Amino acid sequence: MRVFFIFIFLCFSALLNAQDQITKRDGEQIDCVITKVDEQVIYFDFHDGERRLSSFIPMTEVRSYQRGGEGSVADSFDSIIVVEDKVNEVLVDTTRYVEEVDEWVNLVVYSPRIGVNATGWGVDYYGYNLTGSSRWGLPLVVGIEGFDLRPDYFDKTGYYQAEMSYMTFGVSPFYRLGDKFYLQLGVRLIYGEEELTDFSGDVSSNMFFGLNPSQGIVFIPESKAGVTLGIGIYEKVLSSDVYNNDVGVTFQLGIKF
Amino acid sequence: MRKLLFFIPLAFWGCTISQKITYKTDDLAADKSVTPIPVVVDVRIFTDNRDSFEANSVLFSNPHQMRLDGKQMCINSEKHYKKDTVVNQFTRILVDHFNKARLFEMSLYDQSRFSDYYMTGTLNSFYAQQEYSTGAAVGASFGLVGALATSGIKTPGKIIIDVSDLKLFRKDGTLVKDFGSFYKEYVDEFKVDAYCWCAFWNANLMLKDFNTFLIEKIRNDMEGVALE
Repeated sequence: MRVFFIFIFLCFSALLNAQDQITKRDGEQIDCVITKVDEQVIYFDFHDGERRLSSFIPMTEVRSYQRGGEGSVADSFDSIIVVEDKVNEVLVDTTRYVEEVDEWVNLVVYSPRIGVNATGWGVDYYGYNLTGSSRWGLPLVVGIEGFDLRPDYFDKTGYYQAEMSYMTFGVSPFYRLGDKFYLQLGVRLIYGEEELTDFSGDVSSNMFFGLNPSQGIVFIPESKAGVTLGIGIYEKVLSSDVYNNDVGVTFQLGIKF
Repeated sequence: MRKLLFFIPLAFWGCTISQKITYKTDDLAADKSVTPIPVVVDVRIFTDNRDSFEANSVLFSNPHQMRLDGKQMCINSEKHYKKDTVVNQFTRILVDHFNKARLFEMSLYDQSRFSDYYMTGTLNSFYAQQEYSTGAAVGASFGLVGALATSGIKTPGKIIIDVSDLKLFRKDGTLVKDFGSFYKEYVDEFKVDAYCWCAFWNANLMLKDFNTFLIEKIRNDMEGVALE
């Protein structure tokens, strides 16, 4: 009888030794028998109640795997780290599965602007490279805008009519707050000319310079195409004779493609 | 007018949207260097054993959008696979995948005349459930712009594919190889749509993955098996 129990114990031990274990990256452990390991997946057999099932798990989901039995399965996988103090445990080098995000993003954004001294609109194209390694995106920006000075503000300037044309250049970086939300911080320099007509009909022209900082929050979807939304504030300081400064709110509606 | 009112319900009655079990196979074409197993195999339509598993019962008695465990869920409800049976479609796409992957010299769908071998199998589960997205539904109500804005939404879901008794026989009925059972449970976040058809589409996508690795398993298991 004692021999019988020893025999059962030995058999049971042998079964336990045949048990392998896969530890997933989320910590879940799978007790199984590993049948094959290759670069992409681990194939394994496991029991679900009475049923013996074969399945597989992508290597991207595996943190490590450990073999109870020895020499039964061949690895054809060369990027593993064998942990020496734990027999047969293999840590998977998951860094090779980290997919580097490197995506060129195009945005076309329409933004109505409501300022204290002028109301207007702008259409801007932003093109930037989104990478997984940096939270910052530094877009190339090209845009046009138009605005109307508020009559009560313009009336104080002493001119009958003014025509302004200007160009802006600067940076408008995005800082990633989350997967879909970005902080937009922009600073643009303004260089332009204005043609001013006074009440006696005399026309004069001036060059002017300015600074146009802006701050906002933008929603940009993760999908390749989608609608972007944003809200922000802007400030303007100019050396113009008719339009010296402004503070306003801007809303953004755009398309990512 | 009375006639018109009479016909309207009939028009809606016949308007159940059908879904298919299929996926794109163009990108699966194996390299010419892959040596196929040198047999022509008739893949017989799988036996449908899904109703033996309690977990599948929701598929047979519910619409594709339903409340499950207190949550609105999208499921691959059976009623939308009615154009052809699930096992017919399942077997057909498997054969297509076999051929694209050059598993056998040729795989035929339920056609024994030109083959010396046949394969049988049982489908135990082709189950998909995923949480309904209110965001996607709201987005769709804003037309194309809204649909685009919400196109990246994903919700948690579970897809289970389970086949068993996968066996290769000679034409005379001699067993060549028993591949056993192949099972995969995909638990992940899956893309969602406004109308809850996503469960069908995601089940198809995961089936493509499942079949890819099933083929590799068959290829591995067939190594060293003597064929006449």
